[in-house]
Amino acid sequence: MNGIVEPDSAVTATNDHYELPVEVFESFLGRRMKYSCGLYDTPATTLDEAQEAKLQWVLDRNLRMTPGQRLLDVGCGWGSLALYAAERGCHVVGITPSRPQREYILRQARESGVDHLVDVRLGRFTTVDLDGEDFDAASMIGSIVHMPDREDVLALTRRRLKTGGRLYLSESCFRNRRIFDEYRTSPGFRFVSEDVFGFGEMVPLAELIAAAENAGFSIVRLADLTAHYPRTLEDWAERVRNARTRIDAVRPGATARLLRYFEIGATAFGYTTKHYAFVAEKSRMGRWER
Amino acid sequence: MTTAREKLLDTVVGHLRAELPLDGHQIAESDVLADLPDADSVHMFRIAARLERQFHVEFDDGSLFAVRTVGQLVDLLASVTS
Repeated sequence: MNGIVEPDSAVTATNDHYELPVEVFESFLGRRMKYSCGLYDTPATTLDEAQEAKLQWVLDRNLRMTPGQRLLDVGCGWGSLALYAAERGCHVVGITPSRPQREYILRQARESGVDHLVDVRLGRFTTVDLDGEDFDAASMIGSIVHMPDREDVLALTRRRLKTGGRLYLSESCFRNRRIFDEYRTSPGFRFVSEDVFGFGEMVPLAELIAAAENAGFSIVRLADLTAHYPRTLEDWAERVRNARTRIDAVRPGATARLLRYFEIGATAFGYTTKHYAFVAEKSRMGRWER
Repeated sequence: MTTAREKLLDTVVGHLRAELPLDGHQIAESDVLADLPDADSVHMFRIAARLERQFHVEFDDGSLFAVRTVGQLVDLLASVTS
């Protein structure tokens, strides 16, 4: 991906993937419809168990949310974290530029009886009206890669947090600047970032940390989740292979493209890419944890 | 008498044949990896991962990314397994 990409163009390009019929994603993402890695505690852990463990880890261990608190989920996907948080009594505002995702989340919230706790706003984050609202926590799970204006996004997120509020951000990253320079234009990476996702500006972790620091955050936690992603991709791939007929009936050729994406991703982790999560806090002194 | 290096070459060639469609293709140490049939960076990392798992080693990034030929990959493997 060369040159400057306008945020609106990135949204249009990215929506082409995320507005695939929901049946495609339902066929492989698992019960929670979570489109990022799970946490695999043992070799026998299933995809659904891994995703449930990850959601709990994000909400309890990293964001430390309690019932009644407010979560801002920037780039909320199909609402895995938003719905999980609402089921635990938290109020959630999710932001997505994808209309099918918004409709899916609201439908799920109604069916789960938590629709009074879930609000999903349609649009690009920096243009959605959040005036006068504040939040105890925010999340950006695999979404900032689709936002070329990441410093503006992080600055706005910080403004919407209460003092002491936490941001959980996870993202796949190039391992370092040298690998970024060498592989950002490789056929495999361009297939994933441009052909599959439309727009994905994957950068080294240092650039995301710098953007969070420039936005005024204190970085209080960092976790390397790389080892969990190949397992997640292998589980998705197995489900896609099992649902090949159904997926290709909805979108001809989708199976081959998804499997190619999963294969490239699973191979690249550890060599050219990593998957990190960090927690940034709106506080001058940060927070030391034993 | 097969030397240790020849064994490593056989191992490397075995993994190349497992990853790439090399039926009928004779592999020489001077062959450029990127020029082998269907070779791309994804296949190369898969081959590196196979070797690292088999020998319980991790190649140095700079050395791995500098490898261009089959012989250089054997040299790299020899350097971390000797």
